[in-house]
Amino acid sequence: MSNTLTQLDPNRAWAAYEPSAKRPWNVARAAHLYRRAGFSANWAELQSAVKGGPQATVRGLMADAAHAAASKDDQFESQMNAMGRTMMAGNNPRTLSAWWLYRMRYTPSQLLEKTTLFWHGHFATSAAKVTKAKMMLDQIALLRRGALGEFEPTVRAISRDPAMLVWLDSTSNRKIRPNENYARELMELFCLGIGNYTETDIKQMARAFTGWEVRKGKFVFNRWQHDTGSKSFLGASGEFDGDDAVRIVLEQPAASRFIASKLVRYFVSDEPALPDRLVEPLAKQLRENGFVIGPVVERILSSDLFFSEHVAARKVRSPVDLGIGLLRALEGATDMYQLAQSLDQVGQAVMYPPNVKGWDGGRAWISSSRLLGRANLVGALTVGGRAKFAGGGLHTLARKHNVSGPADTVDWLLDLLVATPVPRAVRGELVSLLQGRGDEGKNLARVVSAIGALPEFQLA
Amino acid sequence: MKRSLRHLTLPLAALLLVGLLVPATRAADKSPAQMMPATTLFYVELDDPTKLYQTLLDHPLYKRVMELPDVKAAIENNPELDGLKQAVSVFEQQMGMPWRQALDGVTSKGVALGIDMANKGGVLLARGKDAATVNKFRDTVVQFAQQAAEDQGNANAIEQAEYRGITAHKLGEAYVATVGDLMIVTSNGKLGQHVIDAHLGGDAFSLADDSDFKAALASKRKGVTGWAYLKVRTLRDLGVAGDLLRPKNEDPGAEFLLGGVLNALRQAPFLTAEINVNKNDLRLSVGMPHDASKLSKSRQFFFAPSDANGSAPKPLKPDGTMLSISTYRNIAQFWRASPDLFNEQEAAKLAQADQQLSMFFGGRDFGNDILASLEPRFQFIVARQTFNTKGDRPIPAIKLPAFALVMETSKPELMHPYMQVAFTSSVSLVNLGASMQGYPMLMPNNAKRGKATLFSADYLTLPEDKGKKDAHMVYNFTPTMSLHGKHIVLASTRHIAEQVTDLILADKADETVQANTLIEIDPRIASMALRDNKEHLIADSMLKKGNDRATATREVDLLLTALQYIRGADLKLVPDDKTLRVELGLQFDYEK
Repeated sequence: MSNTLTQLDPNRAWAAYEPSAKRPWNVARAAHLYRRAGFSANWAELQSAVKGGPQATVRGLMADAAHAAASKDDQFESQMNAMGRTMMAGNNPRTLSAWWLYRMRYTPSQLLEKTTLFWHGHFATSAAKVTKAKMMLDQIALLRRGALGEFEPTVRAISRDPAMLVWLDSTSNRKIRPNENYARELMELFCLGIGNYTETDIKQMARAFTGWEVRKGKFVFNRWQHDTGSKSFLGASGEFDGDDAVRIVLEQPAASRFIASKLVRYFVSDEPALPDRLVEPLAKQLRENGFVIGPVVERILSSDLFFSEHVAARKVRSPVDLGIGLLRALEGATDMYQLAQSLDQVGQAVMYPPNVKGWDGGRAWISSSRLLGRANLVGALTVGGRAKFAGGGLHTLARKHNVSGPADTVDWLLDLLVATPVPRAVRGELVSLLQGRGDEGKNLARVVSAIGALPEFQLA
Repeated sequence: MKRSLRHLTLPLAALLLVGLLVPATRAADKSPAQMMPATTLFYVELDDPTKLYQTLLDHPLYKRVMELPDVKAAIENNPELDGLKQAVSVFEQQMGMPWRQALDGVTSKGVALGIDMANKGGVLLARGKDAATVNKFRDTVVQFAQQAAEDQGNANAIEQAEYRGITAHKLGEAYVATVGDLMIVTSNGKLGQHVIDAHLGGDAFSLADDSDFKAALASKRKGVTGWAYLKVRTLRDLGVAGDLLRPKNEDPGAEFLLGGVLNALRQAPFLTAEINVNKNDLRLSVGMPHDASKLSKSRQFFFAPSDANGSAPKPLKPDGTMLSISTYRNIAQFWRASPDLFNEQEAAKLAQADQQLSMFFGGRDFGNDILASLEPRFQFIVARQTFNTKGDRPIPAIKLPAFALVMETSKPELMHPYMQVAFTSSVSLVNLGASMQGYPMLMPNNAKRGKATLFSADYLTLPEDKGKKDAHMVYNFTPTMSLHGKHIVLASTRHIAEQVTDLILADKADETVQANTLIEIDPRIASMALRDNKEHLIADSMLKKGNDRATATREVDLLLTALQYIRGADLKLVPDDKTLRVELGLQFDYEK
């Protein structure tokens, strides 16, 4: 593999990763895969992944996602859906945040949930304005159904989604005064990106969505308010409606590049942004295969580039990745209401993205106060005793996996939790901390808390 | 203690002989209160701990709960308990007897605990079967702690000190010493010295000499399981619980419910508590001196004037009643006294509410006309609600219990029309909000039931909600008002309103109970109401504890089962000329 991203050969970059003596398939790479494709793996999952090999592990993640998205009688899915309906009865979207975090923590299909979270940030809709728990729950279900499937049906469905229409003030869109919000965001934020449309395109496309309304929490098409006249946008003319608008937008060459770039940024690297020529093969795959998301994600996660030094530890962990990742890696259980609050304090309240652009991500996750908040969050879960691990303290978890001795325990924790090697001196300090006087469980909690404050821990 | 005692070692060594010469019988005569300092803030004593252990640990209910498969599994599979179980096993081996026998041996003649403000510490005094048993217990505990310290790599962790020939061991933050059959455990060395001095014949002013304590002790009844004393006067002087004991409250709800009790607490020198535990029930009574004649005018709303009948009405109990609150409160007096009872902000809010509520009652003055027409007798009843699963009527996802407020008026001819106006206005207001939110609308109607008139409103079923089993919460309600003579019933459902009206029509509403306030709970019906919402409880437990569904289900089932074992619970507020008592009772049902 070449030394810099700009020099990489796109075909080789997206070719399947093959382990070698120089770049072996090991616990570190398996953990990297789980941190990106999901939130994190526990020790047993890592062992299984190492045994199975990289391609089989990725195929397993894809198969789990397909099963969870398609199966109606899946036990976890039915439990979560029943739980969601129960939470909905109280009509408090805040409880839904906790519910979704719970789902992320326990889902057998991490990839599906991680991708759903991606689309939640992409089609960012906040319960702060929507206020109806049912609308938010329905939108998340929509995003989950389409997370790895065809993109066009998802965009058509989101264009009718009551939560989205409430969020963008499009609950009543009349032909005499078309609401331009949705047309603008469809092109700017959802499908094309800035620079790929004009103000005229927005005004004309807005007419296609007239008559798309929300009444009593449901989408209705009000044909009396729909502008049936001819519209011209993005180089096409006709008596278009909203579905036509979605089709025409996705036919633009910029659409596949825009979505492929966002997927790459989410799964591969925040900075530096991958050059267009590296993204192009993925965009082409989208264009030529009906804009189906799953195969592109699978290609990314299986690729030589994904397991290279250009990608490992090159993303800043989002608060959700940090909190849920810690719990998943350490088999932890905690109060999800509290966790939702804590994640909000460090910048990511699920169901409550800050604006229509969603979370900026990358370096924006990190500021001095947020770093302190992130360390406090890990401290509260470990030293603060807010979480149980494998049903008890951290020593219970260590015993479960037959890990003992200060040096081995620290190495084991670093393998589980940290994406890049920590300096030798830091490792030494962690070992000393574990060797300190006092209760074994408390010392372990102090070590994990200290790991949570390391710069290396902030990376995925 | 070691440091505080070290400088005394030499001079005290000379006194050791004197100390040893003090006759043991003299010390044994002293009660725990005679050994505790007069500055003791809180004191509790158990005269017969053995009986208490037997009652609790041999109770059929305890045995039943411990035999529940989920409890058994939770105890057996909890890794956090493994250390404790191991420790108990080692302790029993070293003592050569089961832990209960050991505990009995060291506490059989009584246990007392005191918290002393002057020394900022606590002391536990336990009088055991005999000196040998107590010493063995102490030695085992010390040996145990020594072993634990050594395991932590700290072989010299257990410090020792002597005072008047008595050795004290420091275990963590506590000092442990024994004198004859008496074991002393304290968090403060000076407090320990005080106890030893008193035990060895010192005549310092003790808690038993304190006039407040003497007065409190005089009220102690014979044979109680446990008795406690709290010197409220000291707490007030220290400014502790300042918010609670402020003359003006910030919370009208708290003032309405507890204002009289808080007022008494502001004046009471002390507070006592008695607990009685036996096989069939547990009763806790907390009392304080209370002079009804000195009650401030602003709080007469809480207790009736001494020449009036200030008792609460006897609770009406329609089918499925799980909670009833019955109380004497003069709400008109409460409303009028608000400037004296509350701070400026709260009083202003109530004044504003007065104006707004007047509009609901056709312009009548809410405080002076409407509330002044109400008798000071109120009941609040909560009953489990059942739903017809066969019809088209939607069943709400969260099944709330029904509730009813029963009031009495001295001017039915004035109140009835204005209550009708208020009911109609409320229905209109709800419909206005519902139409904006897309919720179902209320359809008002009225009907006669015997001589009573019922005004109610049904939520019209939305077409999409027909036959739904997880419908909106509004389907829990059919707001109803029943008017009959002096009785006014405001209810969340027509069914409970009808049932309460039937009891009123059967003349069951005029009886009283000997209490200012009586709260009764039927945990078995509460358990059924919770079971109606089991899915919600499970989901909540999963989110709150991060449990998986199976664990959350087990926890909820355990709670519901545990509630089945309590036949009833009640809380009474009983004032008389000299005292004010709060009595709590729990009745067990272990026959099931």
